Amino acid sequence: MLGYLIKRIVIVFGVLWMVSTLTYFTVHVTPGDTATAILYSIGGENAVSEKNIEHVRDKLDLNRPVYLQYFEWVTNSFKGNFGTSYKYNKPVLYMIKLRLPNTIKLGITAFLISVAVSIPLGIISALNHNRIVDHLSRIFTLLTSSFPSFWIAIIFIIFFALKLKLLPVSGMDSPKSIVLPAITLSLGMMAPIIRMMRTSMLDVMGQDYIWVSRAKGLKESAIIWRHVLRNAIPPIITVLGLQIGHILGGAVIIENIFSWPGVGGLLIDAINAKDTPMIEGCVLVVAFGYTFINLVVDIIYACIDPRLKYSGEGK
Amino acid sequence: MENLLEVKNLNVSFLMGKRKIHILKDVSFNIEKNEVLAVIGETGCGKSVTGSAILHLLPENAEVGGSIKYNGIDITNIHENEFRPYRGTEIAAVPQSPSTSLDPLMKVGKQVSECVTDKKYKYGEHKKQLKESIINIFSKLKLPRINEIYDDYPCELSGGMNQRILISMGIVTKPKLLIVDEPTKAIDWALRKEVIEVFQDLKKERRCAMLFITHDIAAAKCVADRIAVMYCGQIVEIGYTNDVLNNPKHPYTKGLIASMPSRGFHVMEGYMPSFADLPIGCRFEPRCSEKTDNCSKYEPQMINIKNGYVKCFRFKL
Ligand SMILES: Nc1ncnc2c1ncn2[C@@H]1O[C@H](COP(=O)(O)OP(=O)(O)O)[C@@H](O)[C@H]1O
Ligand SMILES: [Mg+2]
Repeated sequence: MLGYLIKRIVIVFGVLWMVSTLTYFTVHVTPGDTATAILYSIGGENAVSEKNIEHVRDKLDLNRPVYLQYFEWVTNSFKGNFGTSYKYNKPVLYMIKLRLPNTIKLGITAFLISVAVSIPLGIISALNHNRIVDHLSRIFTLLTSSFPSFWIAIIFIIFFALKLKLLPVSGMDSPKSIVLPAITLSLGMMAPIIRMMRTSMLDVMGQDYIWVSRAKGLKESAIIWRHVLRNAIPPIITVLGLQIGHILGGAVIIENIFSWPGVGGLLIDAINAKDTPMIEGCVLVVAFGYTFINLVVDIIYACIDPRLKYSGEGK
Repeated sequence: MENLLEVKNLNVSFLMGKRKIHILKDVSFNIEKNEVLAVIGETGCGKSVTGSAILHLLPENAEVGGSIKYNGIDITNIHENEFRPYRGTEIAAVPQSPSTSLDPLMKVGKQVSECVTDKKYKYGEHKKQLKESIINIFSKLKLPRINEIYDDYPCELSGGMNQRILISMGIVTKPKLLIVDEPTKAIDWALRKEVIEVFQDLKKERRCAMLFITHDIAAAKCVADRIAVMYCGQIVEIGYTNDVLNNPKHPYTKGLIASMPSRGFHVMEGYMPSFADLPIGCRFEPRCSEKTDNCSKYEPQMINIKNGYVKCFRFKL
């Protein structure tokens, strides 16, 4: 188990390194001059002048070849120094520490909402499969997965914030502010969980050992709780892990629409300003969240499924 | 003797899309108290479907006709809630295929004990007794490491060990009727004798009646009082074990016995017809070496013999 863990952690670092390298050069090859983009994002059109551009280039060492800049960034990152944001002129780590808690708060709320809705809905669909409840749930999943989240966000804002005035339009000023962004974000991740829960339940219910538990004369509720759910849950954990990754990506869009001060908003701003150290910081946070959660999922898996202990996977 | 189970003209068909596939046709047999009836026949002839029908555990797409009486009570159409108390306590099952019949995420001891805990005893001191009696069964079945095995998962045991766990599940509740499906299939030859002895003991000591489904004729010979031979969804011959094995009347029974390794391994030619495309006359006619002109035109009737019947035109009393 320990060897397996170490192997996995090494992989996490490898993934982070690859992601950050790819991001670094992708940002570099995107069209547009870095110094101009920074000036524009700070002072608007008037700030962009020959003199200012030269000044920024000098100050940020942008005239050096890109591989040297990259090399310096990597070395510093290993020492825990992720550089200074071009735009905000503050350490990247400081900015992220400021914003990350908000993203986590939004993400966890959205995750809990979607689990609280999707898992029971998936179970109910499976238990009533091909009956009316199941069809309704299928329509619900179809709707939530086919409308883009930014569109749903706008509809929510128009309806609940502007028309009914029940909830704030944006920002993070009141405790109610989290409701709309969290629901929007959660809707986007419900469909796969509902589908997977339903499929997984139906799959287990068709297994021989469920027939056997009926032959034992167990009550239907005992069969569902003790045998069906326990066996249907493991595949769901995988999907949940993937969906948490989805939250991190979805947050980028949702945070911008609702002006939620999280890492997502920071990332979009950084991209607009070609603020490479800031982009790298945000991307690393997202990538780390993703890989870390997948690691956690695998560990949970190994703990609940005795078969993995013997297949070599979990060793 | 009194009949514990009376199955009369049992018909089972499955709806497959728009089509209806008729599997069991007019299956009739009785099992007396403390009697073992073996059902033999090749794979896919409907043995397991018969067992499931008695347990009311056919899939949703199944249609059941005819009548099943248990202890004089007609249980053919009784409601699930009324029938559930019968399962496990009155009629228990030892399912086929040990590799898929155990819950992979539950310890095997728990899987055996839940047959009982959900019904009679609740927790407390009984739990300890229960564990003892289960370990007792394990040791009778010659399971190794009986104390540790209780807390093992199915994946930690071999196929033969899991098969014996399934057997423990069937007998732990001391049922009056046990439906045993292919109990010797996954068992090593060395252990087969022990497993067969367990069923013999069960019959002698616990006075448990059994529907003993198998294609292991030798096992049937050791355990069964009577044997029913099934071919393609019908019982073609049924009678006392000795009569059926030593003096088979139906050509299919003769073929089955000739195909036993101890009788020369003469495997029958041809295949069982598909249930979707059955012959008009006798279902065995295409493979039969003794067929007459009538065989392909009409279905043979049941001819009653001592404690059973034969379904063949050739057979004359
Ligand atoms: N749920 C089902 N739907 C359709 N056909 C089935 C179903 N269960 C069993 N059958 C068919 O019934 C026949 C008998 O099956 P079974 O009783 O399992 O055979 P066996 O004698 O080997 O136990 C097989 O041809 C099988 O295809
Ligand atoms: Mg079978």
